[in-house]
Amino acid sequence: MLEFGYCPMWFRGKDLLIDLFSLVTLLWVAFFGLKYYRLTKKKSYRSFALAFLIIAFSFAFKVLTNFTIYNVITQSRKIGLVTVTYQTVTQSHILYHLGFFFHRLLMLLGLYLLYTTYIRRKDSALNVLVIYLLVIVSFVTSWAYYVFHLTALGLLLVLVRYYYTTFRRFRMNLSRLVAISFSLMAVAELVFLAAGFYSQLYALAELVQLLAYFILFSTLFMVLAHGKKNTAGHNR
Amino acid sequence: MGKRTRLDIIGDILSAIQDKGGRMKQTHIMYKANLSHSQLKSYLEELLDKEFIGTVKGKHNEYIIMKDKGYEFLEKFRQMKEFEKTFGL
Repeated sequence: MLEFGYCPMWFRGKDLLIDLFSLVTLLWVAFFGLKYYRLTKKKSYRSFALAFLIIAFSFAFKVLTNFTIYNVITQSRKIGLVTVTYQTVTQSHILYHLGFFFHRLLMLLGLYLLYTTYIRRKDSALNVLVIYLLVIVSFVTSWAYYVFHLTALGLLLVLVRYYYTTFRRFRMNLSRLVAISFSLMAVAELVFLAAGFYSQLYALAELVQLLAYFILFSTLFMVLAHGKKNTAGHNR
Repeated sequence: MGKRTRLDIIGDILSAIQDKGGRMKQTHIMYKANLSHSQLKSYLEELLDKEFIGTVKGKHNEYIIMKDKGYEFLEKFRQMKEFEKTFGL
């Protein structure tokens, strides 16, 4: 039987909900990034928002591809006609590779853009080279999926280092939460790597990812509540 | 500390007024927000124009008062600053 992805059967559908939650969180962060960019015109806000938006699109590709595979393809196979099954499998192969290619590409591009937001890189030639390499990585990882998770892990570790530096500088609990959230995203990538050898670990990786995005979601919620509290404390 | 942006200065002016209970003398705002008289005048004109603040006459002086739109802006400004620090932007 043709197998798509590493998600164990019992976890199918649940992973879609987790990825949808991650997608909503990313869109929410991107929304505020864009809102503050319109207010300040600061370039760092623009690339920050764009990075989160690109990663959100990456999750959208993952959700759409998995949703189609879990619902449409699995059901079509039950028809039992040889030609229909053959066509479905061929089409689903294309969909699987194309959907996950864009998921991987956008994820790596988003993480790289987030990284460049903080290092404020001006060298456009180097940027073109890195983007080219990321496209290659995304393409090659159709056959060697672990290269994708390894690359994402590398980019996330650089971001984790930056967020911990920010936390040490400001000593703010909220920046510590961002650092913890990104650390958990890195841990999730590690578990995704291991899921290639033992597919049950895919569920654990998704749960770690859920925890990471839940912390990010809560952090943004607290950021907004904090601004409100400071202003509401005074008489109007 | 870096150079203050126009938005930072507006935030400082509004925060100073808010800290004094939403009503403050012009000269006090000038000291609190660390601005020259001409700079303050230009900022106050803009804030009056946007209806963030208003003026009321006291016994001896004119006071600057904060309006609802000013409080709303200050709330957004503080959220933005918190966001900026949290994500290290």
